[in-house]
Amino acid sequence: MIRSALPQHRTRAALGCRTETKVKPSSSSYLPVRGLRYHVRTWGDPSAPKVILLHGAQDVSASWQFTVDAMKKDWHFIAPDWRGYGMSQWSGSHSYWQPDLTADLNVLLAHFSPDEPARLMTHSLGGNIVGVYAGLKPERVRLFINVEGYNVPSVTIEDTPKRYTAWLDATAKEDAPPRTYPGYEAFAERMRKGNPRLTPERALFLAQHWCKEAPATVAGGGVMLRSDPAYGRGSPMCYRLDEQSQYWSRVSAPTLWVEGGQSEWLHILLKTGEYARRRACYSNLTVERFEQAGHNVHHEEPERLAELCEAFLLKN
Amino acid sequence: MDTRAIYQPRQISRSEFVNIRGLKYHCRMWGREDAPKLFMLHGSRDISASWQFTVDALKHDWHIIAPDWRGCGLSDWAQSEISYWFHDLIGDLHQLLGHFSPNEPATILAHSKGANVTQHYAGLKPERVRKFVNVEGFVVGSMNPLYSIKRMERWLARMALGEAREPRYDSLHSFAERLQRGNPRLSPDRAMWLTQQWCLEQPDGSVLQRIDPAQKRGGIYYITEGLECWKRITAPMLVVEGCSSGHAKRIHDKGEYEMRLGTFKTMVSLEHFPEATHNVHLDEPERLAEVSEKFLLQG
Repeated sequence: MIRSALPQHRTRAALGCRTETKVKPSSSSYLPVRGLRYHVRTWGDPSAPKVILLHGAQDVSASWQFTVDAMKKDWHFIAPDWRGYGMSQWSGSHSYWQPDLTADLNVLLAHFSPDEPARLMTHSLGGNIVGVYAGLKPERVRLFINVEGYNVPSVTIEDTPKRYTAWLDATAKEDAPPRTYPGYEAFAERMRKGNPRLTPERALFLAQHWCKEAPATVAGGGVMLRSDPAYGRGSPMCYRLDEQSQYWSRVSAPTLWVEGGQSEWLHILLKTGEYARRRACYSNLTVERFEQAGHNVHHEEPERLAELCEAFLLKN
Repeated sequence: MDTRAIYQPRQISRSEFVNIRGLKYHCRMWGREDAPKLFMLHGSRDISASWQFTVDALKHDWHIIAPDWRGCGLSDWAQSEISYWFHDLIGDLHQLLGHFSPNEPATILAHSKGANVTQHYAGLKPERVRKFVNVEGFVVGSMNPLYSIKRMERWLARMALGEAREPRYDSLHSFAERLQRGNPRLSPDRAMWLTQQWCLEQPDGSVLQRIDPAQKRGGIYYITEGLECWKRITAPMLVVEGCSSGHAKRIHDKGEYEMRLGTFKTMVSLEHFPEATHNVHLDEPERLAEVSEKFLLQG
């Protein structure tokens, strides 16, 4: 184990940030998962009950920091960076495939929770992976908290050629040079432009984990995203409601959906009328809507999220 | 020392290596470069050299370009980063054709998985495929998303076991015998020649196949998505089926044969090879060359 490899709140004073909550320290460890070096961030006493935290697309394990800080009880939080994100190894492959993440999760759980089903708390992509996994392996999941991870718009079979072709065209494009930003502060500002509900303090913290200093070989210098640009090529795999429903209806773990009332994903789902159909798949579901929050509930209302999740964790 | 006769190729291939989606791809070429181009795409757990017997039986001049798919033959393999999803092969084919035939649609002869990839591709990019000889391509098994859970469970379990070990054979002879058991119409001299291309001799005399056992990493492929692509094919197509093919039999037994075949709106003819199994190119290469050439040269 080593201490978290990234400096935290390096330039807080420069931005006039005030410390209001205690930042709980995390530790970093690495383990091989299906041939790739996975970075796993942990918080808390290893003898406390385990909770696995799974981040979303473009995000990193560190973004659970605010929620972890707001938790009142002792938990052992285990948060991997998915392959190609944060400080985990890039796959080296030209495209990423979602079932590979499902298989990675299976190996991660075998490592961290070999003998008991896991408590899983997820956001976005993380929730989508667990939605499939918990249906395939219901006996391996004790509890499933899904923050905004059930609302990917579905496609119909007739959309298949369009999706495949868009991906084919993306794979044939020349790689663009990585986009750089003058510094972490500049990236933090860009994050806040996209999401005004994010505080400057949290935006800077996230910027420092999402980005890294650009190597000398990159023109312009400054900072750039840590995530593998190969994710940007997208995937032709089709997200089909009939297929997903098969998995969801086999999930037996108590499930909590947390949704942001301002989330564009939720709005799409409500508009297409799929929301109710997806909800109906789960046999043991509680739903909580945070009216003022967008898709990134864990960045925007981590205190309320922590309170809600902690109650759910203690109850189940 | 091997005292058996070894097949003597009539046409000698040359090799070219190209970078395709971050991987080194080996392409085997036969014939004059100014002759019409013909792409030959091998199937799953096969190599480009398997086309040698068909190439030798062709009567006309062709510039043949036959890649080893990723994970096969002399193309990159045995690296943890290589991904083997079916879609990856479609992406690779798109790049390969962009490299070798950027300005004109391609003429393709493909077997099994190679033909299956081509079926998808020819529907997705109909303007990029001129003519297509489809050898045992539409009978490849696949899954319906509605019945996918069992398949996904099996796939997850395989992934959890870690990487597969490559089976070793005692000698080139023992592998050649295995090839002949699988393909009873393959003569001993051809089996021995193909073994030399197919295998890598180890210092202790044992042999490994030049086929990455990690190809099990990508195992999920949906028939329903395929059908949606296949029905958009515009290239004239010749379909070749081996009458003793286990693959074709399974699709007949599942009652899916007519439905699959029916999606091909531009099929010109369907040729049955009474003596052939799934590996038509090993069982009846002379007749395959003959019917393919006739189809490719007409109209």
